[in-house]
This record gives sequence, C-alpha cells and structure tokens, in this order.
Amino acid sequence: MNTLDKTVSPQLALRLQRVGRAILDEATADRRTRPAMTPTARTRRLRLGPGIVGGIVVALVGGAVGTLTFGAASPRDPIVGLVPASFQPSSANEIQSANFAIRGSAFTLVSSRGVDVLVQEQQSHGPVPPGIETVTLDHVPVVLGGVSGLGDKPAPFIWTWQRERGRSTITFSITTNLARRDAQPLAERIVQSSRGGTIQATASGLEVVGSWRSDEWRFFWIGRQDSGGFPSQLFDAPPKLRTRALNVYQGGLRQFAYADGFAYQRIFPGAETVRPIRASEARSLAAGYDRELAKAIPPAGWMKLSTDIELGRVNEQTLCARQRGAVACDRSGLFSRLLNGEWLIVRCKKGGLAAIKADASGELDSPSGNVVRVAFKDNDTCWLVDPPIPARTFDVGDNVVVRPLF
Amino acid sequence: MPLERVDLSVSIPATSDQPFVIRRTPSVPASIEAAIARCQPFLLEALVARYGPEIGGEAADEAVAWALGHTDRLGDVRNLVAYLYRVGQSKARPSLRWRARRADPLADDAMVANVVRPIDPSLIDALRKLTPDQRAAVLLVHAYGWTIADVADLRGVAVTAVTNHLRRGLIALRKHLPEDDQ
Repeated sequence: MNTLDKTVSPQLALRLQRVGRAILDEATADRRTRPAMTPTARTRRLRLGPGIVGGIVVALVGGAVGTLTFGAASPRDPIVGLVPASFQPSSANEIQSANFAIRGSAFTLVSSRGVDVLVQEQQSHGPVPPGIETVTLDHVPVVLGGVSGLGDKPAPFIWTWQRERGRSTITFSITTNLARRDAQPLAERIVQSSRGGTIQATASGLEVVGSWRSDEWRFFWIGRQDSGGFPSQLFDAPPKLRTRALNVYQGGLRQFAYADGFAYQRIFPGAETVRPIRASEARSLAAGYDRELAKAIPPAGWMKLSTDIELGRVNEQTLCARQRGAVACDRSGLFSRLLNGEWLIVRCKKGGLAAIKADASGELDSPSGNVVRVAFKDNDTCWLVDPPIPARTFDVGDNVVVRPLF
Repeated sequence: MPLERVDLSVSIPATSDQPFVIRRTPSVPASIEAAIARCQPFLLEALVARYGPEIGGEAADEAVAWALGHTDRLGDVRNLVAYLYRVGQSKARPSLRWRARRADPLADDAMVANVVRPIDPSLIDALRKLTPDQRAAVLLVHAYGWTIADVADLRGVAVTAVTNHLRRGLIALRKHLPEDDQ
C-alpha cells in the first residue's frame, strides 16, 4: 500500500469505525451514567490521576469555590486529609492555611473542570503499607462509606454500589494492620454481591481502612466504630496509616460522597431519585410538561432531576421556608444537597415537572407552583438519614432547611 | 433587536443522511435551538475525536449548554458546528491544562483504557501514538465519515493541512500496527 495514500484498507476502516463508535458510545454513555461529575455548576472537580505524589495545595486557579475534598494522589499516597466541607478558598493563602490546619496531609482537589490545582510535593509521608489501595480521584465516581452522621453518631453503614454496565471487576484489598477479622466477612459479602446493591452492616469496631477498585472506578471505604465517637482502634494502627485513617475519618467521607454526583447514585439507597442533569436537558424535559416551568429553568448549568419524589399539585405558589431551621428534611439528602441558587427539578408522579430553587436565605421556592407535597419512597422511610426517619410531607409554609454541604 | 432572516449552514458530514442546513426565520425563533440540537452529534464526534470520550463528551455538553444560553450570538454564524467546536475547545481547556503536562487526553483517558481499548487493543494503542491532530483527522474521516473539507472547515484550517494530518496519521498508524493488522 502506498504509504502516502489517504485511504485505508477496508479492514482497517472497519476497525476504525468500530473503535470510533465505541469511543463515541463511551462518551455518551459516560454522560448518561456519570452525569454528575459536577453536581452543580459551582462544584468543581479536578481530574487528578495517578502519578502525582501528594502534596500541599498551594494555589487554585480559576476561582474554585464549593466542594473541596482532598484525597489521595498516587498509589503511594492514599487519602491523608480532608479540608472542611465549608471551606471555600479564594486564594492560595487560604489553601495553605487550610493545609496547615491539617498539616501532614497530602492533597489533591476534587473538583470539576475549570480549576487548576497546583500541588507542591511534600515528602512527609512514606510509602503506603501494602494492601492499601489508593483512591485515585480520577477514577472515583464511586465513594463508599458512611453517609450522614459518620463522625458523630452510632450508625450502621449503608453501602451502595453498582456494577457498571457489567464490565467491572471488583477487587479489593484491605490492610492487615487493622482488624481484618472483622472486615473480611463484610468484604466478602460485598464481593459476592458485586453486581451492585446495598449492604447495611453494623460494624463492630473499626474494621478496615481500605478501598475498592474496579476497572472503572475506585472508591474508598472505611469502617467505623459502632458505638460512635472516635475510633480508638485507630491509635493502634501504625502512625502513618493512623494519620491517614484519622484524617479520612475526621474529614468525613461525606465530602467524598458528595464530591462527585455519581455518588448520588451509588452511595445513597434510592439515590437514583436524584440525577444531576444539564439545564438544557431539564429544559427540554420541562417543555413537555410546562412551558412556564421550562422558561424558569436557567439557561445553563447543572440541576438535579428527581424521578421518584412524589409531588402533589396545589394552588399555592410556593413551597418555602418562611421560618428557617425546623424541618428534618435537611437531612434527607435531597434538599440538603441543594446549594443556594441551585435548582431541583422534580418529576411529579402525578404528572408534570416542578422546579424548586434554594435561594440565599435558604428558602425553597417553586416558581411553577407545583411543589407542595413531597414524600419519600422506600416505604415511607428516608434512607438517607442517620438513623432513618419517617418520610414526611411538606406543606406550604413548612420550614425546610437548605443546608449547603459544600 | 429584530430578528433577521439568517441562514445557519452547517457542514454536512459525508455520512449524514439528512440535510443539515438550518434556516432561522423571525417566525420560528425556536429554530436556533433546533440547529443546535442538530449540531450536537457532529460536535460530539469532533470533540471526542480530538479530546477523547471523557473530556470531549463533556466539552460537547458544555458547548451545547453555552449555545443554548447564547443564542443571540449565533444568528450570523455560518458554520455552527465549527463555532461550537471552538466553544468546546475553550470548555475543555481547563481539563487539558492539567492533562497536557502528562499525556494526551486520549491516552490518559481511563475510559479509553478500560472500556474502549479491549475492543481493539492494537488499534487503540496505535491511535494513542498519533498526535492529537492526526488522530482527530483519522477518526473523523475514517471512523465518523467526515470529509476532509468538513474537518478543515471545522478547524478553520486549510484542506491541505488536514490532508497532511490524515496522511501522516495513517502512516504512523500503519507503522505502529502489526503488519497483519493493517
């Protein structure tokens, strides 16, 4: 064949087409199954892959605000520290301050595109003990761990994961430095259920600090003490491991859980009820139901689509929190995940969509007037709280706390 | 500002089975959204070919989202796909900023490594060794059926430039593919 020819053999053309189609499918499949890399427009995810030795974040470029979750940067340096969820840096100095507050940590930043994180290598950590897998945030659409109340309440784990399109091979490893005896049975259960699902298990003491890794994602998981409080067993761990584990524990997997919208669908039972979607998609959905609602949807950005929230329709114009701070809904994992200015698009089982928006005062507002009653699925039990609370119905005038988690 | 009759002509990839000329008239103001919607698959192909499924896919989404929010700017755009391709490039830039230090987006793409590669490992490995421009040209022309002129129009470069990318890309591809694989 003439090497200057612009054509290819039929066989190669076919292969190229097949690969091209696979890439394209993967791009679209990715957006279908991982629509929530950025749960909100303000939540930034930086894709940091392996190869970056953990370090101190010294600067942010791009005006990152919102979620800041620091985690492992390389296989040699798993999660060692987390910045407080409320931390919103605006300058390198703030980052450094935060880092100082949890010094000894090495970080990467979980964020969406639009943010550059400059990490400065730090040598304060040695190699990770064998058996510790790394949370490589590049591949962490799934984070496994406690949800709410991880740090302050006795609670069972609620672990949920899903096998991604049947292609994942879930493997895991645990460190032998911790209570493998307790961790192993639980881990085996998870492995046996590798098609995905939820395991709710009560840990009898701190079980394990480790991670799962699959072909397509990795996620971190951590055992916790059943009795609540601080996992004293950690102090028996080797110093370096202890440092990392404590930071993870203290920092809260909650941040990881929320760091990536994919976790919505993976961590929380029933999390498929909330699916972040593009504004454009929301608009097209809404247009089929309610023109006014479609107009009310912002032109761009991310919103969340809920498919399993049952809503009634009444005449009142708004569901809002006239007085703030009363309703347990703030822990439902639904509204609590709304940020100020963020919209929640809800598909009503009785038809139509509704939009609610959290404003700066913490109120939920429904410009379309559709949202009044909200009931949770799963037999009237809200799974996303710790401990589960009965589902409740919102009425006009109810107090709803919108608690930004990021 | 009153709407004027504007033709939104978009390149028609060779494989397209439908005309891709969108006309927007004052009486049908929503057609700009239709034009954007029709651009989307081509935009996705273009950006995915250039940046891989992860960054490219998201860049395409971002570009479309941007377009829907800035329809007033698109009235006199001649080639909407190419215009939004530029937008997509801008949207992909933050990700590339980081990745550029390490590797090519496609080569660095975990999804490619884990999902696409098993389909045809040798071809994927060979594609990874091409330059981004070469790979984009090869994929667009030979995988997605674009004409060279379409690609040139998309990128705003001369046809000869794309031809060179394509030719050199294929040379490199053949070089990196096993003999009996070509």
